[in-house]
Amino acid sequence: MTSMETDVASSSRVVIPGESLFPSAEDLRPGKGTYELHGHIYSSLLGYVYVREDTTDSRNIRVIEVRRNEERHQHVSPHIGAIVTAKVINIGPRYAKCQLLSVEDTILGGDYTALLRKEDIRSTERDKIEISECVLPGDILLARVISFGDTVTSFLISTAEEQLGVVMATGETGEKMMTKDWNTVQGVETGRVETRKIAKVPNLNLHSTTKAK
Amino acid sequence: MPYTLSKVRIPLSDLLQKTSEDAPSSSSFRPVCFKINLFENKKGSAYVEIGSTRVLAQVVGPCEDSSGDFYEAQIKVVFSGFDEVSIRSQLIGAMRGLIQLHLYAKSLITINLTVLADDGGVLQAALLAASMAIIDAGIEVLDVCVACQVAVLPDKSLLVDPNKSTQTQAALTVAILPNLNQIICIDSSGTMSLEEYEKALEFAVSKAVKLYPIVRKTLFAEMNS
Repeated sequence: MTSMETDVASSSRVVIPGESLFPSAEDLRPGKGTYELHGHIYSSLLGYVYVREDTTDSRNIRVIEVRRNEERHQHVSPHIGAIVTAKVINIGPRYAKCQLLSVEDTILGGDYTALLRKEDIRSTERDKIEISECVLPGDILLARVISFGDTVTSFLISTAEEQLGVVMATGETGEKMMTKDWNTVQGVETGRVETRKIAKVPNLNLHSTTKAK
Repeated sequence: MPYTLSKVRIPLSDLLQKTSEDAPSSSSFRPVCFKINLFENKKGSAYVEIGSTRVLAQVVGPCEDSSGDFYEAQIKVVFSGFDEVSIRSQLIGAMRGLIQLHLYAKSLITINLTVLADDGGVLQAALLAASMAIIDAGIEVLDVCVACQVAVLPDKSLLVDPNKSTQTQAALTVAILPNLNQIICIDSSGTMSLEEYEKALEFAVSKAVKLYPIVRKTLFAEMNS
């Protein structure tokens, strides 16, 4: 989404929560691990200070982040609108139960499950959807969090967008499946064809087919 | 000034060892020892020792709470080794003020506190241990938390960090966010006049701030190890 972002300064400055990092400014934005209060940007984590350049709107904005280690943040709970990576655990007549693996580019620390309801699988011909023709247990999905659910159910996710859906499939026999076209996958070993709701991620699918050859 | 032993190994072996009966000084803490990240590959733990009061805190989560709140995380505190009725709600209240709960909707954060030894001031030790364990777990917070217990003695003088054998007229525990200058917990017992209360509160806040360099040093020690 913000493809124009680049890591610029990764300082070795260690901060503890509550430390004032910078005074608020027009071109400074509090990123992950920080918050803004009373005209200052404060750290909310123990970690190193990073300054990232963000030129998305052709304006130079510096994003302040605090990270515990270099690679990634931990402990982000899913929020509405987030793209999540989910693994299908089981399917039923009305919904597929999924385990959330990561939120955007962050691997989740805790265990979170989500429901993919039948009518949220695709945006066209919703009444004709059969879950088993779209996802099967073991598949890895890209999906969007659409709701926190009601008081008894868990998060609800949706794949009703072109670029969302199955990115890695496991066949009924357990073999690895490669995408054949936009609706079907083919077994690597047996050549069996199964149907899926494939995520139309051009780069990702291209990458996986070249790798298989 | 209190002093720190934050680099030393946890002296679990001498838990039962009697401390020397030093005359309690009215203006300083008993020897303190803080440590975070006690277990190699599991983040979210802290150990706090104040005199011979020893508390171990471990944080689990945030994990899914399907019946949880849509807007903020729920906090669960589990005590062991201590009759927690008196201080559990105080601790939850303080943690609610500390943690940025809105970032963890529909999630549950569990804080397990083990009181290994109780020689007075369990609440201040538990507040320090829980807050440092939360920070070690990488959960976003507003600030670090420092806490202090003060006692009003029968002769109306104030004593910081009383132990269990101190004869007190009243006691007051305060937890503050030092950078934001906010009080997140006040727990008082005994009888004192409004005037004494104000004096005790001011005294406790000024003493709690003294722990900030030690908490800071403890957290830095973890990053540099």
